[in-house]
Amino acid sequence: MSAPTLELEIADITESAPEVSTLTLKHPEGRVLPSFTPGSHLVLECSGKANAYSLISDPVMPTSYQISVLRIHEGSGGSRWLHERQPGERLTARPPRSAFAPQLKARKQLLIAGGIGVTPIFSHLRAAAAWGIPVEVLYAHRPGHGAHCDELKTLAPGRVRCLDSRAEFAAAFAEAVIRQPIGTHLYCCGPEPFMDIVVGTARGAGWPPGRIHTERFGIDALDPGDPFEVVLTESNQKFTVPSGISLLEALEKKGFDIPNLCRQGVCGECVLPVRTGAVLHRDHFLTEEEKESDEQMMCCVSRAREEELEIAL
Amino acid sequence: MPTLEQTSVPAWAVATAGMPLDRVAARAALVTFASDQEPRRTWGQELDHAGIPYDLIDLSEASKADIRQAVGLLIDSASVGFRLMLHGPLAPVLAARAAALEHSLLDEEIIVCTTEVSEIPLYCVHCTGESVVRAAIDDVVTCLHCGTDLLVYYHVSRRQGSFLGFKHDAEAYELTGAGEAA
Amino acid sequence: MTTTAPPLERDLVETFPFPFPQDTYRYSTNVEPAGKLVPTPAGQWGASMLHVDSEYHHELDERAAILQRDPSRQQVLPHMRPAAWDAMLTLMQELGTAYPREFTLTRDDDGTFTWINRKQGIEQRFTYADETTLPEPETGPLGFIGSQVQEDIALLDQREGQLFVDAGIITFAADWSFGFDVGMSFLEIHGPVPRVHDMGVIARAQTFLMRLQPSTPYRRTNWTLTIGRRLDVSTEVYHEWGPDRGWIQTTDDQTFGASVHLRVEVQHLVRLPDSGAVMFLIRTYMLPLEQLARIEPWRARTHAVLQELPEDMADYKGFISYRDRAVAWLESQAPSS
Repeated sequence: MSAPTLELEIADITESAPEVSTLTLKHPEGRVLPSFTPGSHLVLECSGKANAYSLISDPVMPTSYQISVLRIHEGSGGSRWLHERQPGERLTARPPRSAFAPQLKARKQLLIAGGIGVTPIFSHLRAAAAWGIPVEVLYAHRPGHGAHCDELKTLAPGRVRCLDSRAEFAAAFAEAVIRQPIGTHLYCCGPEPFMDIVVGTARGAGWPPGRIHTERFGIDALDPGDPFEVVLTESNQKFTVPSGISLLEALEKKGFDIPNLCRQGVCGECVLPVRTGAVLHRDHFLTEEEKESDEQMMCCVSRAREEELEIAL
Repeated sequence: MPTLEQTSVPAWAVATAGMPLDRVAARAALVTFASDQEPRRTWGQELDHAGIPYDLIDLSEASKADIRQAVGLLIDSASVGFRLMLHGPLAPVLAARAAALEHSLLDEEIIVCTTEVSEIPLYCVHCTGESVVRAAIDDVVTCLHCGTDLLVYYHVSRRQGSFLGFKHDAEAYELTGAGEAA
Repeated sequence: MTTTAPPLERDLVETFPFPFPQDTYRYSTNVEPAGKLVPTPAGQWGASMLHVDSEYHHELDERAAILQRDPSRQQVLPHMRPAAWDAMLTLMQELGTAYPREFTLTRDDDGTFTWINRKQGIEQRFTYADETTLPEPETGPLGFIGSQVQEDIALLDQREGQLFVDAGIITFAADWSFGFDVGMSFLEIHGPVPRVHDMGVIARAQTFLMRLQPSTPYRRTNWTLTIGRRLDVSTEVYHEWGPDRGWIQTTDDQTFGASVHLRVEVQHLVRLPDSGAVMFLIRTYMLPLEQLARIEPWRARTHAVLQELPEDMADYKGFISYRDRAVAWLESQAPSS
């Protein structure tokens, strides 16, 4: 299933906000790059790790890709590594993947961004502007840390509000959520607690789940989780996965070579067959029915709901 | 014939049935095509009880074109949080659902209660005319537009708001007694 | 009266996508990555997503005539406009890659595109998402590209956890009505197919399609039997082709072998990159039994499959009334030992 990789050359690096670098990537021979769906991400190999970044540039037969990378100090190091790159250097990427696509039937788009979650929202806004779809943007960010505000406002004059206080954002969203014409779809990307508030508020205002779309991805780490026991039925092993260590990491330490790509529960590569035990599914790959059946799990993010899991490995 | 749950035929199109209202709705419109059945008794009371404001709209005398237009206008002036509740015989309910979907409502925003399913809207695939006829799945009825005898198929178009009908004996072939109907 | 089939162009046999990998056939989620070349006893098929063969002009003339008679075979619900543009550009790129001598798509410095189709003598400069830059703005990008590829095209919108067939140009439907079905969900459209629901085939196929990524298209085959080289066996004209199923039982053996065709659909499943819609390409191939029987492995395999096929499947596929005759006919063509 794995698609071939793309070699990309860094054509330009600019600072879009403090700690946010925008990288322009091109094919080394200037060839046209694959088109992508607004809201897609590019998985980049960052010094041995794979990190996903939302594409913010023009999606149709583009000659360059742009991503904006927030430097995360406590992260796994991928964003720090990217911040140290220089123009002319090359990166390896997987072709764009879409998991946060615009709804073609939307009559209007209400786009809600928190912090660096502005990147897929930027992409959605670009598409809405290109196809003439009415749009309204609320972007919450820390004072002085709003990335791409000017570009957003140029794409949709008078339809973008960049808000740098929580109270201001909460008031603006509470007002906006109750007056959207039917046919509007809401898209939200930001830190998990931010999105929980947005989704909760919209649901409280009678929004059906089908009109609410979130990108829970790559913003901040999942909570470390409780330790649990793992029994490997094929190789006859038993060990504990401590809090803060993923099952994938634990298996790698034991010498297992598990296929994996995003390590964030999105790509589906690291699926493992579960024999017994209740899984705390934290991925965005398996369907709800698959999660309920507890027959498989994404070992990069998911853990045991109770003390023990039996894996057919 | 597979069980109908796995087809395009909604359960409420073959037997009268009502869906529960959505208690998180911010507002609703209760459109009835059977004023004599007093929808207030059922959904109306429940809506009142749940504290969901609603408009009661009686379209029992309206034609299919009028239904489509009225439902379209109703939806175009609504805000997200709105639910459309359709109450009455199958034919106008299917017509209203088609208009609602065309005006970008989601399935989960449309709540249906049928009070009568013995008359069905039937689309003739050969002449594209629609006949409202007293019939059930697998019956053969005559198209009111082109006169073809149509088999009522277990296939319902959400967009047309009707059952599919096609020539029931199209495979008959008469030639010196050798033909047969499949 | 005895009918003999007109001679077939050789390429139609050599590139025929014979669909049976084994002696029994059941519905399955039989998808495989696109672009894999499949050798057959007569030649090979499958190198590219789009296939141009010696029927190119004939089939496209037929499509144009069908659309003239019945415009409902081509529909793009309003929200599918971006998907139609996306489909056109994707197909143009695909044609340019597979047949660079006949087709070329170039992007000019000002962002406009130039499309050249040398088979039809077309040179068209257009701007993406601007219908007025196409020769016939009212039929739009799908109408434009649909008149240049032999494949039928369906475009599926992904929403509410499902897929909906909301646009397409389907002139060669095998026993279904695109005009009636447009707007239905993937599951609804497949409602009438026997067996597949209990087996979860359609639900699995939908889950698979919803996860398709643009970089990895897939394909599958489907098949039935058709009488005569009739591409349009849609429900709309059932009254025209239905009687053939009665007539065929009255024919002599030579006419039977010349008239009954193994009809194979090669379907490509593609995630369109810009709109996120799913594109279904349906290419129809037909080979008369008479031709098929000349390739012994094909004759023997088809005989085995038809003989074993359960009644309900033969009924749904529409040849229950002449299945036994087809089996006997194929049997009669076995090489004498």
